[in-house]
Amino acid sequence: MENVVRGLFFAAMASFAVAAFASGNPVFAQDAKAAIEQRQMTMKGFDKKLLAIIAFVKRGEGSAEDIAKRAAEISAAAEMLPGMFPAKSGRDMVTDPKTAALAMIWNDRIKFESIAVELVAEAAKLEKISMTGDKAAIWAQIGILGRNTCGACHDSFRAELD
Amino acid sequence: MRRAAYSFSIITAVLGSLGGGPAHAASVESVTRGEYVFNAAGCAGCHTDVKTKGPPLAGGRVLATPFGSFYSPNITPNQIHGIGSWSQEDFIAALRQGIAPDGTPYYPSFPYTSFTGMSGSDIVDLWTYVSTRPAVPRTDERHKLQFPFNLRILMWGWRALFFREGPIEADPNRSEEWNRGSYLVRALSHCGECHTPRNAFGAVDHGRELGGNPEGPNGKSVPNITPDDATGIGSWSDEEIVDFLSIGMTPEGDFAGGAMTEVIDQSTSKLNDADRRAIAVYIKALPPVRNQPKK
Repeated sequence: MENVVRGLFFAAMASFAVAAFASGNPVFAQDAKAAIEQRQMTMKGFDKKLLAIIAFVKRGEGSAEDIAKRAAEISAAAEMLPGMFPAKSGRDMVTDPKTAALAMIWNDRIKFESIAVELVAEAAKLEKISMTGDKAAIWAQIGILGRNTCGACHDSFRAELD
Repeated sequence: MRRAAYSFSIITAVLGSLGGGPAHAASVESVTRGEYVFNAAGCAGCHTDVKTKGPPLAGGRVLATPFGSFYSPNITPNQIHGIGSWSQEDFIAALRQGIAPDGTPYYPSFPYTSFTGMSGSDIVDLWTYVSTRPAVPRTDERHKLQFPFNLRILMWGWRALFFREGPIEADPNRSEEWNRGSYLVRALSHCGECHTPRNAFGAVDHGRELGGNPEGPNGKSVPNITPDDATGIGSWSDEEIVDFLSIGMTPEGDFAGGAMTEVIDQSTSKLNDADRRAIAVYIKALPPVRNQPKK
């Protein structure tokens, strides 16, 4: 009986693998698709949070506590960022959904991950500065965070957008 | 403390040469103005080898071009390796004429082609400020250029064809703000050195000012920043340009990367808002160039 169960299990696994291979690795494709969607949503979230912080600086919208919370959220999400770039989820491997992620992300993983770590740190600094409500200092820190992390990462690891 | 003492001694020396008394206040102000000019001109960017964490202004930064690799020189006041033995006249000749103290012409990798447009007072203030920087005994590296570009004598011909010496003259038909922007963009901040395409001889094509350069520094393309709607920044407002120059954020919420990050860090973020706005006014008034410089 035990052998029958084991045999059925291996047969199921084998047919699953054959099906996956025949249809172009749908298991990986599904993983890649989910990862691409997740990271694109995370980046849009960064944009939204930064825009809220900028609205405080420029138009006095919200409070220092509100924007500090947004900065903390950016820092927390940045911790998860490298995990959203699994192998084979670059633009050379996946066409649907569209992604601008260059193969360089996996070829120079140390640099890629060090920028993500810097984003965690710079967003944490932004959180601290935000608590002070000092608009000039917050504005300057948005620039440091943006140029050293968003800009640096996009410059090396993102294809030119259409 | 030693640095403070050194700076003080330099200022004192400058004051001494100017005759003391009332000149004292003027010289301290000149150092302050010179620091602003220094930042606007982005001197630290090229003259510091950031990659190897080299000392400020001690040179050694490589600039890869289609003609070969240029290495920036030490411009600290070191007497042997820097410009400590120069006179103020030497400094003016370098920026205004592109001529070294020994009479040889500089390669245009040093943007004297733009700095020639600087006002005399800005050059003197810059000289005063640079003279207060710590001296560093770092030896310059020789440029590594392909033949025939390694023959510096050819620069005389290049200059005859492409170099026009002299400060930028104000246009009386334009506003003061536009004229200030013109001065910053074309001379002091030398934006065209990267953003304007060059001809086969490496000379800036003034007919397509700021129209984007497919062969920018280190082989990277540099965007078109004329007000062309399709390929430039025609959709950006003055305020969006000011914000970009201040912190590097584009109207889409993205951020500058590559060489522009340094320009913002070391130069445009240190300008006052009036100057950033003057740059925006000048850029927005440029004739649009339809050019997509991406490689």
